[in-house]
Amino acid sequence: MLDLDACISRLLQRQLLAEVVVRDVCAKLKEALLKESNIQHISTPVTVVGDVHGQFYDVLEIFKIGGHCPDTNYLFLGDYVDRGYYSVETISLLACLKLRYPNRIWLLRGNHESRAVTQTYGFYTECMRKYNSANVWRYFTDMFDFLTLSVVIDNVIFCVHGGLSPSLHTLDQIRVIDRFKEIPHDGPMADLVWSDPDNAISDFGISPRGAGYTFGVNVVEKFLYLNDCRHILRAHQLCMEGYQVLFDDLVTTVWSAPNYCYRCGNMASILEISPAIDRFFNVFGAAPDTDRETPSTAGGGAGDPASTPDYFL
Amino acid sequence: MSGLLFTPEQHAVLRAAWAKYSVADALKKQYRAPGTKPHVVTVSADVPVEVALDVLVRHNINAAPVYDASLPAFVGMVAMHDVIEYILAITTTRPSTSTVDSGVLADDELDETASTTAGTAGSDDVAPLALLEPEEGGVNGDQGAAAVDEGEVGTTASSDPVRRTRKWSFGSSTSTEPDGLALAEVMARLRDAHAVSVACIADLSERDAFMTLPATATLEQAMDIFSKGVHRIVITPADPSTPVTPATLVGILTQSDMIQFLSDHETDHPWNDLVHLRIEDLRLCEPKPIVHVKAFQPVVDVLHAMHEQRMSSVAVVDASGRLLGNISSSDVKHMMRHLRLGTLDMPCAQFVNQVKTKQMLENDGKDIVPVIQVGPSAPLAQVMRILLVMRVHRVWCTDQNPSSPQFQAPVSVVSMTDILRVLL
Repeated sequence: MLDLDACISRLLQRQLLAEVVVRDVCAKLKEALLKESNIQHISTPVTVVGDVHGQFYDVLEIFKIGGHCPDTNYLFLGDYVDRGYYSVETISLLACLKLRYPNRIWLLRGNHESRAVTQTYGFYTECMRKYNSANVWRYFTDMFDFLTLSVVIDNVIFCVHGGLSPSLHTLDQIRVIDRFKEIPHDGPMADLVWSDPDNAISDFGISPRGAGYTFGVNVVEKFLYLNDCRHILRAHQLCMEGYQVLFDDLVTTVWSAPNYCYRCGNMASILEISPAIDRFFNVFGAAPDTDRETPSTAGGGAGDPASTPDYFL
Repeated sequence: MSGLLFTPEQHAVLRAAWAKYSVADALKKQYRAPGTKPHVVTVSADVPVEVALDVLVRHNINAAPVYDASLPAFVGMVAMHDVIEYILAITTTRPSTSTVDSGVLADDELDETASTTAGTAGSDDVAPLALLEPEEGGVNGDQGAAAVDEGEVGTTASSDPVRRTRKWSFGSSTSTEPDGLALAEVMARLRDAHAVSVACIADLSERDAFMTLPATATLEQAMDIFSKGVHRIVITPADPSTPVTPATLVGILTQSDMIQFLSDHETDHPWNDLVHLRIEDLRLCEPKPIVHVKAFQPVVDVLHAMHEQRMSSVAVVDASGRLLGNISSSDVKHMMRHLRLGTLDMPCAQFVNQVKTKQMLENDGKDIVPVIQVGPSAPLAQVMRILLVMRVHRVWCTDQNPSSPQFQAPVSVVSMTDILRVLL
């Protein structure tokens, strides 16, 4: 019998869950996520979190400044893994919280919740290093197939990881996508997690990321009008100030990984939306070094960092 | 491949279209600006290899003409593949484990023949790779300066590969007979630990010979050269009496420039009929041998693969043969500034990660897809746009059927050479 409170308590101290526990958590979580539509409708108040990319100590910081789950409702916009040193602990914690409080925390799928991407950008390597096998990576990436693609807050704020697609004009079109699979390299599902807004264009353009599209203000206005929404909330793009508001307040990017890759020097933010749909960008910097440990880079070592490594790649 | 794709009449129409334009029409803007002295990056024949490499890195180009002022004449091109062969020569060589096969990849194949011809590690100490000083500010990403470098399957081999690889082995000297004066000089200088001048390695790999055309030549002449797999053409002054020196070179025309020209003219006849065709209809994604290494293999295996298979880009696959990414000589160039000998031992997957991280940081923090791929039904126009926007020289064609056992295994690769060959 799975004791989620014990799991969460371990994870908050940055202790790994046993492989079989990860397996059980992922299995149960998949059952729960199966019931979620490609577009989940939720209500304010809710705090929206952008990319965290395995920066575990900054996730703890988010809970400190935004309030702990379930006292605060959370919507995470995806990209939980890769690049940071603690992707495993981060996704383990969020998975357990989702299982424990399914109506208090919502998890979207980001472009990094993918087998192909995690094999290149760090999560796979981290799983191998910490568990000496690829099983945990498989459990998590199988679970990623079940994460929902979008959320609408109070029927007016459309939330997705990346952005819009030339193949998707209405919410109904999003609802009929078969999402329970690896993210394809192109098509509507890929576009939702890879696209970026671009204020230099008005329609769709080719994305320099190699997947998804760039989209301009005309596309945004049309989408919001057709779907009776007022705003698009997304993540996926690094913001030096932690957030960015575009297109005359029609699109917002939220970014929640401060000092991204431990070297970009950027701020991060979480967006607190009240029942009156007031917005507050709670901006924060990287957790102080005294509050975090960093792993030594001398390869090997299953996990526990010794003391001072100050060299990040 | 049976049957012609186009009729002779269609080919004639294409040729006539290309013949209407001169090479000057396709050159990058920087070479055409009136009044300004065009700056073609060249390298002097007497500089050490490390300096030549630094020039390539700093200007973000993959090749540069080499000029010997004492002759005076251009003596060849120095390109990344020459540099890679040089790196392999001066570091401890080891058996290569790169493989080539068509489509389906079997588990653990160690190519026995490749391992015996790749050169035996000398028991002597070899000179450590010269460390380049990392420069602040990183690589110049000026799009205008980028040149195409990549090779493709089926380039004509100008020399016997077995004999060529033997040139680089310096274990027991009795089994190796360096060919030609340049090689003997290289080897002698390495043993004496003198700086090797770039003239010694220019054109060493005997690929990408120094090709020129005058500025008055037509694009039809350029296409004839490009479709044979040459990646860049040096454009010389229109007036044949002008001496050809670094200062008088008009510019460098690359395959990328041709694709850009095509993209700019895609609504013009006769290209407008062709760019909407799917790449499978143009027979561009037929299964072909894919040079690949496994993700856990060290980077040095990639360099060996580039050298032995005469490719500038090598696919990186996971244990079950799925495409994870690729490493090109451009990537090696970008990482050269921080190259330490240990980099050569790094697993490929980690090297790809480092390259992608660097690209992400230069791209405002935006991650790029691990594999730039298209399906067989992609229209040519879309593939060309991807090549241009992503600034790559090939896209992968992978098995897109999720229920196939070869899902996401590389099936084919569409390179700029392949496209240009079809359109002539």
